[in-house]
Amino acid sequence: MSVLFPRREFIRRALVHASASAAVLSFLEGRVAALPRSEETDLAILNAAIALEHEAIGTYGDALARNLVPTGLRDYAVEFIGAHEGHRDTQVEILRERGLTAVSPHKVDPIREVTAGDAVLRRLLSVEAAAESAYLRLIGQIRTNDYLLSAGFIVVDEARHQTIWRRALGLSIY
Amino acid sequence: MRMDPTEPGTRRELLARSAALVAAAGVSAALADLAQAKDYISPREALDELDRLAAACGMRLGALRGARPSADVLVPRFLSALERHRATREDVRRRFSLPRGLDPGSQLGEVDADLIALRQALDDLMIAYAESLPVYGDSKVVSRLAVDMVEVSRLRTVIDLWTVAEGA
Repeated sequence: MSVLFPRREFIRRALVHASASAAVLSFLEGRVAALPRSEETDLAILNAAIALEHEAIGTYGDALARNLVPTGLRDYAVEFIGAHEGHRDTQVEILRERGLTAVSPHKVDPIREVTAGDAVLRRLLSVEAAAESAYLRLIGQIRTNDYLLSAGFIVVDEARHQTIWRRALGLSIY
Repeated sequence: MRMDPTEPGTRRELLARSAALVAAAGVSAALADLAQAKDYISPREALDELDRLAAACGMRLGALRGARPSADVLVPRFLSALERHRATREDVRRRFSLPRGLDPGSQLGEVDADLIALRQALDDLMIAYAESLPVYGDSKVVSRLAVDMVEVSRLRTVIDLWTVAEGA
């Protein structure tokens, strides 16, 4: 069994909390092969991606506020929560440009652990792995060029975060 | 007023401003590049650029292998990844009925075994992948190239970690 918090569960929880499009959820869970290429699909993907960023920001925020990140790695967690805030803000801006309002942040389940350690890092790694897999699955479904460009720049950030946590946990990084 | 989302100037300006704000806050290195993103005009132009940048990475990796014994394990894996990516780009070229791409073996030149320069070369390649995604207009191609782009991001991060370790 994977040591990671189940990726599918993370995505489902984030999207259900945010009342994200059922079509996007079905696509991410592999129950539909493709989404229609339309403005509506882009908007649904944007809201789903923002929900995932809210989930990541909430999880990192909880870990940092409760000093659950090991001391030597705290700077990375601060950097990464900032990156997720940047991803959120960029996608909120794309929606605002279309005259629309993004989904509001939802309540994120607190981290179960009470002390800093590998279990917390595994949770943060799971957040990154889930975000990367969701963006990679959705990116081919994006219709508008500027959102596609933004999504490309976002997903490479997620890969960087994931690699750093894997290294910290002593997992294979390449 | 609702803006026209198909109007490229407005959309790009807004995105650039957003990315600049993000960059000013120092929160995301990758998003900072969004503000100056290059527009490719054709899949061929994008694929040619990716081939050229990937060949430059390969040359730098080759130099590293000769100069640093500690690179013996990592470099062959990196070169294998770049070769897989090249095969993907060749598939994409066939899909668009384009001529074959650059043979990386034809690229000759002297480069230093420098981790910082290798990191920059991988960064250039990763950014070119991201910037090229809009030009293909094909969801399968975008998905395949995005996977390779993410792997380049991983390679770049491994070099980052190596650089930090050497500095320590």
